[in-house]
Amino acid sequence: MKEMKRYSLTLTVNNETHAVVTPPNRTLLEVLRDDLQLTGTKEGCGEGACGSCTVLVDGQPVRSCLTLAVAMEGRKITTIEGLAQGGKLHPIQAAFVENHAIQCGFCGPGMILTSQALLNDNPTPAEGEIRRAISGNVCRCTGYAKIVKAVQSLAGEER
Amino acid sequence: MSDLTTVGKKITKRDAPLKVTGGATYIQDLKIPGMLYGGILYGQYAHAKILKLDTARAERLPGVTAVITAADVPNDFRFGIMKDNPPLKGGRVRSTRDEIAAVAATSAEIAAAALELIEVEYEELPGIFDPLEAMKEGAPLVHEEMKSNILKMPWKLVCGDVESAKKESAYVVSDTFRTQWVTHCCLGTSGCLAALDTSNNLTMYSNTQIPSLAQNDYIEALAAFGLKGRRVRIIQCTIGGGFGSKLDTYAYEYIAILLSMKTRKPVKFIFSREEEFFATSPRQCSITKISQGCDKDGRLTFREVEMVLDNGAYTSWGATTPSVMMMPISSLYKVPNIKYVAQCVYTNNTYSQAMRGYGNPQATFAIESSLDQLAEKAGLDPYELRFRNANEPGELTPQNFQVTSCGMKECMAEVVKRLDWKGKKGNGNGRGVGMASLIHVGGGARVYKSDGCGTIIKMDDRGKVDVLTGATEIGQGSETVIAQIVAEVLGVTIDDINVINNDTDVCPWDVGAHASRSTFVAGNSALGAAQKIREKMLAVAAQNMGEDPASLDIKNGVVFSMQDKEKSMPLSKVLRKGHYTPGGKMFMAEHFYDPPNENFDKEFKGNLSVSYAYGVHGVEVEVDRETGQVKILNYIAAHDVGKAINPMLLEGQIYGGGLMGIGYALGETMIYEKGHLKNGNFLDYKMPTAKDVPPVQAVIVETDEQAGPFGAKGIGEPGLVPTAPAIANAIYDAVGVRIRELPITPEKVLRALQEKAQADAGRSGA
Amino acid sequence: MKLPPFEYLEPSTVPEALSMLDAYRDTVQIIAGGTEVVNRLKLRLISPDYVMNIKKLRDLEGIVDHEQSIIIGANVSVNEIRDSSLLQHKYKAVAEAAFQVAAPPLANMGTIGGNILQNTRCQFYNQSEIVLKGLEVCHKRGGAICLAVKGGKRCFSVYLGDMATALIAFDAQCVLEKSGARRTIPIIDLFTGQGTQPLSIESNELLTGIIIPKQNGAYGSAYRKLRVRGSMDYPLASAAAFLALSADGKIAASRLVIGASGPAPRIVAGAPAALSGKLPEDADFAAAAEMAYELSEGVDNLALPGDYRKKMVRVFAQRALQGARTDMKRGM
Repeated sequence: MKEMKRYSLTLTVNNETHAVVTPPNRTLLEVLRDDLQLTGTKEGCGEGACGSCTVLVDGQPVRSCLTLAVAMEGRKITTIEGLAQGGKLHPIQAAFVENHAIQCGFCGPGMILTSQALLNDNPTPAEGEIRRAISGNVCRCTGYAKIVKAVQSLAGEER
Repeated sequence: MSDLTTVGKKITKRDAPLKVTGGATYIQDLKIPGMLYGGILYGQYAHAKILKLDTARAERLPGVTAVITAADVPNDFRFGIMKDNPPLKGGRVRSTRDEIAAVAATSAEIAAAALELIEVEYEELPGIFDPLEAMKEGAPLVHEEMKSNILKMPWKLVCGDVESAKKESAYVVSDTFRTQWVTHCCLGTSGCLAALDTSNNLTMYSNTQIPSLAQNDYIEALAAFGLKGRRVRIIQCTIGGGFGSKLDTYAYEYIAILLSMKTRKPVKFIFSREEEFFATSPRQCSITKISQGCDKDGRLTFREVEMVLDNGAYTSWGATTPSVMMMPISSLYKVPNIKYVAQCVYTNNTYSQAMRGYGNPQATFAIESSLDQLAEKAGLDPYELRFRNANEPGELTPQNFQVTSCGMKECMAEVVKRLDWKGKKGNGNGRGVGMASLIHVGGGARVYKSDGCGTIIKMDDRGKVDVLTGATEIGQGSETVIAQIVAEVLGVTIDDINVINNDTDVCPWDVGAHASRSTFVAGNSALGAAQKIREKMLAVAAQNMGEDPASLDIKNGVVFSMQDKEKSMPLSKVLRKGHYTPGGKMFMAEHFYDPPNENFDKEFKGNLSVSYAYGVHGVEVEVDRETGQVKILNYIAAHDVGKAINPMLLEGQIYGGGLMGIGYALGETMIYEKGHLKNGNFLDYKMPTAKDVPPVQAVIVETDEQAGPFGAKGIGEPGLVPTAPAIANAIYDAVGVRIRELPITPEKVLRALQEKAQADAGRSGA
Repeated sequence: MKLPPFEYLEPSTVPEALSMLDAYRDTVQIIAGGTEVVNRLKLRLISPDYVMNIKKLRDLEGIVDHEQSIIIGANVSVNEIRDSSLLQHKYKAVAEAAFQVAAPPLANMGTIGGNILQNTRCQFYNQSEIVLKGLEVCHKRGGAICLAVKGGKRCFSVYLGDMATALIAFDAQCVLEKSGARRTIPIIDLFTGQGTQPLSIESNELLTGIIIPKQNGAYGSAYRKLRVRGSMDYPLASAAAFLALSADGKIAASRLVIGASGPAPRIVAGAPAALSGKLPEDADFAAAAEMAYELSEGVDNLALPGDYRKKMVRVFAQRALQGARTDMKRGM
C-alpha cells in the first residue's frame, strides 16, 4: 500500500476541538467513528444514498461518508452526541421520542440532524417541506409518518 | 379494563432516548480488545468449477492473521434447514454469493487488501436461473449429487373437493401471477463478533432475532468443529432492523467462529451495503397459478393454487414459506374447497429467507387480484363479493383454523367509508379504488415443536423491576409492550421497569422474533410471571397489613385495601419486609408461556395460531396514461388488532409495514441477470423515501381477543400483506388494466395500457 | 467502503489551482462537493494520485447579475441555485432542475460545476468491485465489449446530470481556465458524446463559472424529469425547453434539450424549425417531442427498460415544452 502523507488536523466537533492525525484518504465518518469514538454517526451505505451518516457542518446537513476529513478544518461540526446538553434531550430528540419516530433507530441520528437543520432554517415548515427535507434520509421501519409528526410538533410550537 | 394505567396508553419506546442520543451500541459500534477484522471472498460466477484457489500471497501480507477456505471446515459441516449449505464452498460455486475464502486481519483495510491477493481460477459452467426450466427433465443440476432440482419438500393441502366445486360453480376465473425478489434493507448491515475463550466457550455478539435457536445452531457447529459440549453465549447488540432477515444463521457467522478458532482472537464481520444486498437472503420470488369460483350468489366455491418458488442454490426458511401461504389460500374469506401445491426449485440464483409476512404477501397478491377478476365476471362490486364471503368469529376454516375474534367486516366498513368507495368506484376517469384483505397469525404460530417464550421477573428493595425476557427487540417495540404489561400487573410505573432482552446467559428461552408473536406470546409470558410475583407481594403485604390478599390492589407503587384505601403500604416497604424478615422471601418469578396452538398434521391442517389477525386495505390511485406512473391519492389501512396495548407503537407497525408494502407493490425489485445482481445499492434499489409516502390512515379496529394479553393480537407483519393487490385492483378500476407481475412499474402499466388500446381498437374494428 | 490512497491538494487561489493542475495533469482528480467523486473513488472507478479540493476557492462562489448575463460560480451549490429568486423567476428550467437534483442534503454539498461535469453512468459500471469482478470488462472499463448492448461497439453509458440539460436550453456557456489561458465555450460542447470519455475538458483545465445569457421579451422555460422515486433518483428521462415569443404571440426562438438518453445531453436540432413562427400549441410540441424521441438512445442499462425510457423522453419533452409555455404566461 502506498505511503501517504499524514495530516495534523484540528477538528471542531460539538464545540470541542480535537487534534487528529490522518492520511488524506479518510472520510469524516471514519474519523468521527474510529478516531474520536463518536459512534452515534452511522454508516448505512457508504455512498451517500441513505443519510444515516448525516452530520451538520456549519449548520447544514452533510453526508460524512462523502466528506474528506482533511477538508473539515475550520468548520463547525455537530454530531448527534452534540445535541443533548447537561443530560437533557434536545427538543428535536425529545420530539422523536415522544412521537415514536424511532424504531430500530439506525437512521435516527442522521434523520434528527437533518430535521434540526431544517428547523434552524425554517422554524415553521409545512408537511411537504418536511418530507422534502428528509427525503434523502431513508428509514425502513417507520414509514416516515411519525418522523414527520415529530418535526411538525416543533414547527407547531413556533407558530 | 377501564381503569388500566399503562396498558392501552401511548407509552414512548423505552430504548428511544438512548437511540436518539447516539448512545445505542449496534454491532457496527462494537470494539473488543484484540479483535480482528474479517473479510469474505465470494465466487465471481453463478456456476463454476474452482480450478485453483491460492491463498499464499494473502497469508504473507503483514497484518493478516489467518486465511481459511473450504479445506479448513471440519467434517464437511453444512448449515441450513436442509443442511445443504457449507460455510465455505470448495470445488464448485453455485451462486454469485458463494463464500470461497475468508481472512482475519488486524484492520478492515488489511482484510480487504488480503482478499485481493487470493488467486482463484474458475471454469465457468452453464447455470440455471429460471425455476420452470430447472424443473424440467434433464435440466443441469445445481447440486450434482441430487437427482432433481426440485426440493424434497412437497407442499400439498387439500380440503373438500375442488373438482366437483369447479363444475358446480357459476363463475370461475384462472390466471397466473408473479412476484419478485425484494430485500429487507435493514439500515444497519449484518455483522457479528465471535470470541472463543480459553476453554473454547463461544461468545457471539450478534444481530440475531432468534437467540435461542441460533445458540443451538452454533452449538451444533462447534460440535462439528471438534468442540463438543461447549457453552455458547449470545449477546445481541442494538439491532438495526430485522424484518425476518435475522431469522436464520448465515455463512459469515460460521466463518467468524472458524476464524476465531484458528486465530484464538475475537473476529468481527461487518457487511458493506453491497454485501448486504447480494450476500443476504431476500424474500423469494414466486409464480402462482390460481383458479377461484363462486356460485350465482357470489359465494366462493373453491380456490386452487399451484405455485413454483425459486429456492436459489441453498435452502433457508424461504423454502418453508408455503406453510404460511397456505393460511390465506385456505382461510382468507370462507372458501369450502381448497387445493394448494407448491414446489421449491434449486437454481443458481440467490437463496431466499424469511421476510415480514413470510409468503403471505405473495399468496395474497394472487388471491386478491384474482378475486377482483371473479367479482367482475360475476357482475359484483368487488367489495360486495368480499363482504359476502368475509371471515367471521366462531368460524372453523377448511385448514382447521379456529377463528376466535375477527374484525374483517368492521375493517371493510372502515375502508369503504373512509375511501368513499361507492362514490369513487368505477368512475373510469384515470382514478380508481381497490381493496384487499388479509389474514395472518395473531396468536403465535406453532412452526416449531414449541411456540414458547420465558420470562423472569425480579424486584429490588425499592420497587424497581428487572424483566428478563426471551423476546428480541428489533425495533418493533416488544420491550415497551412487555414493560407496559408488567407495570400494569405490578401496579408500578413504566419507568420502574427495566427490560433485559439481549443475553442468552441471563434471558430465558424463546423461539424468536417471528410470526408477529412477540406481543402475544412474550406478552402472555410476561403477564404470567408478573401475576406470580404480584401474588407473592400481596401475600407479604396482607400479612403485614392484617388484610386478606384478595382484598388488596397495587397502584403507583402502593399496596392498598380496595375496601379502605386509607389502609396502604408502599410497595418498597413490602419488598423490604420480604427481604429483611428472618427466613424471608425473594421476589422473583418465572413463567413459560407456550400457546395452545397446533403444529400442522401430515395433511398440513391444524390450528396454527391461537388467534388470527385480520385487516383490509383500501387505496385510491391515479394513473398517468402517458407514463404509466401510479400515484396513490388515499390509503386506508384498517387492522383488527384485538386490543391495542400501545396504540402509538401499533400505528408505527402499520405505517412501516404499509410503506414496505407500497415499495413491494410499486418499485422495489432485485434485478438479477444470470445470477448477478444489477442493482444492489440504495441508489438503484428503489426503497421509498419520505416523498413517496401517500396519505395513509392507519385505522385500528379493536376486537377482544380472550387469549391475548389484555386482549391483544400480533401486528408485526400484517401491514404489508394486502398492499400490492389493493393497489393492483385500484389500477384496474382506474384504467382497466390488470398487472399480474410485481413490482407494478410504470413501464408495465404503460405496456398494458397500449395492449388494451390495441385490443379495444381491434374489437371496435370487428 | 474505504477510499484508495491519494495525496491531497488544497489550493487557496485559482492561479494556485491552475498551476497544480498543470503540474499533475492526468494524475489529479478535482473534487468540490464530493458527492460523485468520493463514490467513484470508493468504487475504484478512478484511482488518481492526487485529489485536489477546490471548495476553498472563494472566486468560484456567487451568482452575479450582470447586464448581459448571469454568472454563476462553479462552486455554487445546487441548493443555492434552487433557492435563487433570480433564477426561479428568469431561468425557471435551471431552478427546476436544481430542485430535482438528488435530495436536499446532497444538493447542499453538490456544486453546479460538479453536477455538470459528472461522468456517465451504467448499471454495468457503477458497481462495487465485488460485483464488477464477476462481469466482463466493458468499454467503459477499458475493455472491448458492451454489457448493456449485445455486440455494442461503443459505450452506451448515460449522462444523468440535471443541470447541464437545463442550462443548455438557455444556450449557457462555461468558462474553462488553465495556466495562462482561458476559454469560454457553450456547455453543450463540454460533451463528447463518447460514453468512455464523456467530457471534453482538458486535464489541466478548471471549470470556473457558468454564463447564462440574458433573455429579453416574452420567454419561458421548464425542466421535466422522470424518476422512480420522489427523491434521490437520477433522471431516467429528462427534457428542458426554452420558448421565446415574438410580439404576435408566435414562437420566435426555441430550444429543446434532452437528458438521460445517451452519453451526452442533446439539443433537438430540428425542434426550432418545427416550432418557429407557430403559436405554442400541443400539436407542434408533439412534433418536436417526436424528434426528441428519435434522438434518444434507449438502452437497458438503468432502472427501467430502455425502450420505455426512450418513449418517456418524448413525453417529458412534450411536458417541458408545455411547462415553458406556462412559465411564459406567468412571466407576462
